[in-house]
Amino acid sequence: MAVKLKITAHPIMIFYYLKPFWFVLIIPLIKAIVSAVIKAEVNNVLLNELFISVVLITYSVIKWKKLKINISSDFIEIYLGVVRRRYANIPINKISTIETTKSPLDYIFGTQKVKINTEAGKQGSADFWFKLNVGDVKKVTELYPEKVTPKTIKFSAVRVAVMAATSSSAFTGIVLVVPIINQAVRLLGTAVTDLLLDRINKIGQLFSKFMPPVVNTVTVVFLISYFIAFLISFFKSVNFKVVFAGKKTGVFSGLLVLRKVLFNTKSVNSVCIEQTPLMRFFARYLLRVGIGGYGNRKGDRAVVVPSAKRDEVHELFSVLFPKFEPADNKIKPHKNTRWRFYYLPTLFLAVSVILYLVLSYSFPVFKGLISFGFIVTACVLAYYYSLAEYNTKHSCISVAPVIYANYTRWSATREMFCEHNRIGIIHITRWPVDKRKNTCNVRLTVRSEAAESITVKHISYNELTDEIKSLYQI
Amino acid sequence: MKTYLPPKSTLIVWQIRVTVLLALLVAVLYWFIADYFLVLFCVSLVLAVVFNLIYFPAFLRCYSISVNQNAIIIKSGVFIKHERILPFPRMIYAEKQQTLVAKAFSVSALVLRVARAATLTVELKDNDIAEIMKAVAKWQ
Repeated sequence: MAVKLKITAHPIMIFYYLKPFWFVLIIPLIKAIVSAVIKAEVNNVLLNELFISVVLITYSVIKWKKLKINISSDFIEIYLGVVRRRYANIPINKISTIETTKSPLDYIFGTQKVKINTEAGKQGSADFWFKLNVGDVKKVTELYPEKVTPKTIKFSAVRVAVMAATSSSAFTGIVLVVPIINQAVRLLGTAVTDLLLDRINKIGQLFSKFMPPVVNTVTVVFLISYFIAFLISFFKSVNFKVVFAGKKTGVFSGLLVLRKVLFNTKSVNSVCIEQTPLMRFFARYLLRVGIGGYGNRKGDRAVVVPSAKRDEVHELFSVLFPKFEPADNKIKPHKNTRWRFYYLPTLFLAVSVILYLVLSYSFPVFKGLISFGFIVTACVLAYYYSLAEYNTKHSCISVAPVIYANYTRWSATREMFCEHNRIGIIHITRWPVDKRKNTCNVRLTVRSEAAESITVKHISYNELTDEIKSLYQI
Repeated sequence: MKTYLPPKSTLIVWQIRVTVLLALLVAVLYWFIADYFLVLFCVSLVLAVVFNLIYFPAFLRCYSISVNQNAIIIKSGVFIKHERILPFPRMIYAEKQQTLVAKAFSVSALVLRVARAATLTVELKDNDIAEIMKAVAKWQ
């Protein structure tokens, strides 16, 4: 195992090691020193703080000095720690993703943050991370040249904006949540004002005076927060491009903070073609992959195609992931059981109507608010019905070497492709009605950090178990 | 199949750790409840004797790591016996961890990382750790 490259971290790591102590120690110390200089006196507190700071800074410097990375053709060796020395020997083929981030601060210092992820790490955090010189990061990537000419697919800012708008809660918030909150609070205010005006005139007047500005302020605060969330999501994803080079895939994005995720195609657990509620209006889909070990707060997923039409996304899918081609033997819900998809929305509709009638009869003052609430619920239920319709038409599962499922999850529709050996748990549920009709609901959990699952309902029990038995030799 | 047993220095490392920990605990508690110092001291002494002279020697006698062609098998447990089998194909990487005390005795612990889990072993000789890490690396 000949070492090809020896790398040490950038001194800026010292700053990151001291980061937890900045606000409790370093900043008060600077303040105390300034104060001591002005007053021309040194007290014990300052001396103690100074001593602890020197100890911490020395410890951080030693910690930085002890961090070493050796790279060979097959392994990455990492040495770190002072009191508890650690030495990790990671085979290159076990690395699922290498994520590099370049923030404005990194531009100033000429550094890049490198995160190394394997399937063994904790969910939501990298196995190892360090700040390296840009030159060293380049050397690392040069060590693994790809023989295949890279193929780059770029996506326009408009498409990225569509993704940022439709796949994050920001745009939904601006378009739906803010007007609903605004209208609901306004109606509540009107009703309470009417109620109080009848009883206590003075309080009622005060309420009617202060309520509208409060409603407007709340609306503006919500609107600004959602707009900022949208902008953050947009700037994170803008400049989006995907590079395919043989076994490796790279996803690049960001404007102010440049982010690059390199992953081994072998590490892909599942591929999803997803459509969020807003994407249904735009008739657009996004393609994302679940990568073992790659972690951010939202789980081990990386978007590969931010927004594309149905035909385009399927075409890209078959080009990028040819090994995920599904088989034709799809198990669909039986014609006689399809009506059961409408069972829950109908039940919710009946409950909503009863609640609306009872509440509007009991509280006539709040009738405006109750009617508005009913209209919102009816709209949500109408969408729920559309999902039920989608399930009756499209939901299916193919239990084959490549597992394919078409289903709805919460408010999104999803097509998922996954190799059968990546499935961890198969969970079959049968309600009393299922036993009568010989049907079942099946949930397959993908063996990954995020443990993503596929749920398909009301399919033939015998067909499914036969397929599972023959595939897994159970 | 090769079996690795914890050396005697592992026991000394653990005895030092427990003694220091109990001494620190007694010192901190003395700060708050000085009246019961004698009781605290006696309890700590009993704990130190139980752990250092009875439990740890027994625990380390029962501890072994075996490496065969396909897996690493870790056997442990004084009262309840455990046997953990880590097949090489499921293993992601191995990590060596060494504290300052362990370094003084040339022993270190091993973390075997598999998908979504990790197993920490007791301290073994540095040479043995290097051999196990080599076996893990060779399989990759």
